[in-house]
Amino acid sequence: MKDLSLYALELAENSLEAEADLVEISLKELDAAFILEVSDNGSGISGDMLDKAALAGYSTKGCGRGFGLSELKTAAEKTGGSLKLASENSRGTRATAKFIKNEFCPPMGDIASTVRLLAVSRPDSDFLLRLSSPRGESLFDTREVKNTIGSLSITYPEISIWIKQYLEEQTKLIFGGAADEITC
Amino acid sequence: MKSLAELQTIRENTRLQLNLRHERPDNISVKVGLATCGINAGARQVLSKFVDELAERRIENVTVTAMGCVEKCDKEPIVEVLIPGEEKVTYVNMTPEKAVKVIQEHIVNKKVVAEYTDGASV
Repeated sequence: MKDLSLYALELAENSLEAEADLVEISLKELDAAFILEVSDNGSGISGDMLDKAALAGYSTKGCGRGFGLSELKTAAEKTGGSLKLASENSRGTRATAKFIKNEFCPPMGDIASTVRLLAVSRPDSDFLLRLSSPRGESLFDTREVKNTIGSLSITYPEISIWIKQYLEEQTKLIFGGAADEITC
Repeated sequence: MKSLAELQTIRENTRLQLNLRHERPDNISVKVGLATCGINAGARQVLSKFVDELAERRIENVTVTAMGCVEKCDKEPIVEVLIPGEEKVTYVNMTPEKAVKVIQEHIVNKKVVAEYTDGASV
């Protein structure tokens, strides 16, 4: 079973394939649910394809593709939640997955690792991570990091280590517990 | 609490070194397949290992990036290593442990880990 942080990674990779250069990942814990939302400024999905996008095996990319969204939809619906896709053609896509907290809800997983790896392995794109729970809110923005480090690359070892530690700290603050231990 | 101010310090400390290095011609490229097939097979842990190990060893001439599906889904996680002037090497069915060996032997010592390559595992 895949955790929420792996779904987030997969959705972000979809965004990058759609030529997005800004991807926002939001993970929100409510009293009775987790909401994972990934939105981008990529090429968008047209109306008729939007209906098919989450069907198993439907893909415009070939090979063993086309299972990511359907897997996510199935996982969300199993908890009594849902997956919603929204897109205004050529103006980005927003995927919102709602997981109701119960025994079917996948663990949150290591969201810090997902975002840090996106940040350093896709240095030409920017990422925003919004974490929120009844404990508080946190916002991480790679554009802010890049402005601060100037000509130094975000892939530079010291920077990469800092991002990892920073995100792990934020995850603990907002959700409590170590990054990969949190379950619904 | 960590803060952005620490990034400022890192930037100042490294400015001098970076000026000496400038555009390195020996930049090695590592690509990890991160499509659905790769992620399901454990690619994030492999990518994570490459990024962590290289950072901890302060190896700076390696760029680790994600790549899409290369139509060999049953061999994921797939990792491509390209050293300038040499042929691209494709490692298949990778794990974090194998990633460490690839860094030690291929990236540091320039010896391909033949047993992990595409042809060898079939």
